[in-house]
Amino acid sequence: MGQIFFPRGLPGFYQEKHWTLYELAKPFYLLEASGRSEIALPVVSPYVFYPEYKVSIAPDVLKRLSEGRSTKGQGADIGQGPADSSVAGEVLIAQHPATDHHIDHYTDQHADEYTDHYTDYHTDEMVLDAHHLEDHPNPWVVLVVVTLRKPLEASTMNLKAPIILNSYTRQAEQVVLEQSPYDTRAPLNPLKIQDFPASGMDHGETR
Amino acid sequence: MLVLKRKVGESIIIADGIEIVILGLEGSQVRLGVKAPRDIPVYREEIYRELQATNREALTTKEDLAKLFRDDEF
Repeated sequence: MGQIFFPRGLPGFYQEKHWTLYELAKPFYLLEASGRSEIALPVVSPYVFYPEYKVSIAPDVLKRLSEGRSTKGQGADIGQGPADSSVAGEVLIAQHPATDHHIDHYTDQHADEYTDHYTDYHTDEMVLDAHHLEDHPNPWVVLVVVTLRKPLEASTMNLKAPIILNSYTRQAEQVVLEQSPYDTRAPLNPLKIQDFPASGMDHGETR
Repeated sequence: MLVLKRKVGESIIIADGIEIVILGLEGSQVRLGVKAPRDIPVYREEIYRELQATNREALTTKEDLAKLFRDDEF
């Protein structure tokens, strides 16, 4: 399924740059370090549980994830299930990459500087929310790491450090929303869980 | 631990591509500028520890998940 490149690794897994995204029981996905099946993190679209969730992404992050490694025409295959309002639908956008990868939300003016401009680095940030992510075409996918527990209601998700994925370049990064009110261990909303009865793993990838 | 004295405006170089500049002092706070290659992540220490901890808590395997998802309780 979908190969994803994390140029900066993930906190705690710095060495692991190459990951693969698998479907799991809806609405969950599994992010597994390529070739290291003992390293895998369940992930989910935060909007499934927190529709009001908002992420501000700094321009340097947007730029990093938008440059290079274009996989235009290669065809993304992260979401093979039916398109829905969760991650699969968003990621499927990657199957129709725009011919022009230019992202006009960031500017380059602060790049490579560390003078007083450095503190203004976030002035041209982009805000991603559920509404924005419905815009097509849109390369951006937001996922959060889930700590699955039994019972499921005891599970938590890290809203403070979402994974931002550019589905065109297939590059991703786990960013920290330092100024946000979000928790690293936000509860899964039990009301929402009932919408997703365990559907088993049999429709996921078998290798 | 290597200990160095630097003046405001001076910097240190780590390895080939990482530069840490002392930008200034504000009371008991030091302002640092970090210039690093794009594949080198830079975190505040306590935030890094927290992220590392939560990512490791979430760590699982397909086999564990298969077990979890088969369970009626889930």
